[in-house]
Amino acid sequence: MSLLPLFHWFNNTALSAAMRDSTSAFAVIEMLHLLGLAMLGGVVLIVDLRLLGVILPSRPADRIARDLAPFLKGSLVVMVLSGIPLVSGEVMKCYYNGAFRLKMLFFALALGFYFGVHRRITRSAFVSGWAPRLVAGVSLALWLSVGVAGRAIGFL
Amino acid sequence: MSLLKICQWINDTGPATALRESEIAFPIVESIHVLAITLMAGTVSIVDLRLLGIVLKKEPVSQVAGQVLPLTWTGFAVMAISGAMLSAAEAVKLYTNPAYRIKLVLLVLAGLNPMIFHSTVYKSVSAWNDWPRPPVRARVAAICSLTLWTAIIVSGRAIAYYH
Repeated sequence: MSLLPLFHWFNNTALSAAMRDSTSAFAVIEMLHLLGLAMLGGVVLIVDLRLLGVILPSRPADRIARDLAPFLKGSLVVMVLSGIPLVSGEVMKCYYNGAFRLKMLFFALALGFYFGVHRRITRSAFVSGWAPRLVAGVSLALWLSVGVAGRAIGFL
Repeated sequence: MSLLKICQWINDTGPATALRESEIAFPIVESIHVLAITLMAGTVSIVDLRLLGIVLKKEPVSQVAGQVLPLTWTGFAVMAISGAMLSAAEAVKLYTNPAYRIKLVLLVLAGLNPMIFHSTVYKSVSAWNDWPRPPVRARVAAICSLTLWTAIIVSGRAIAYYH
């Protein structure tokens, strides 16, 4: 099934029209998107580097992950809520943009991996050994891919 | 020699011209500059949130600062090198850019903040290392840091809109 009809619909929404008409909305919302990136990236780095044993090795990894989880989820909410209007301003450009497609793919994988695997590992007793290191490595690679593909949208 | 002349000279050097005219190098350096936000501002904000008593309350302040701030400094080095390259490549254009000027002032303030923090309240960290909520002067430093880095990201992004 093609997603083209969905993008056509999105392109005809009031939000899309408003974003195209405004000269400053895109800039302001993009700043929020960047601030969300800083926070999300910071939390992901701290938690995953702890799982890898690079930082805070003497402090419990599960507690650090649990403690920072609200900020991870909060910054995800900021990124999605700012990302939707950003896409709405250039819906069809995004549809045909290879970097955007890759970013959405990596984002879905990163999100699924976080809620399906990463969170289970940091909530379980298995926070030592090779499993948390593997999970942290995959997590870092996925989120970095989301970021790189996201930056590339503007270059294509 | 005026500042504008210096910018003009930097702008016209070989490496600056090569970077400005490269269709591959410039976007790569710019992407590194943007994504290193996570390593620099993202990690320092975790330390700030610890100083505010919002996250990692059970971990000693000195451990959080000691283990996380080296990441921040690594991020800062990446930001400074890539930022200097981007600045050199567009030195003349940036000279009159108001967002760029504001960003430079904010960067100086953001640099002063940890210098003041480490030479004052942080010196007595052993006395409040385990406090879930550190003393008010530490919390003030954290709020200054969070505010400054937010403003730096915002002004940094604004540079492109004045181009």
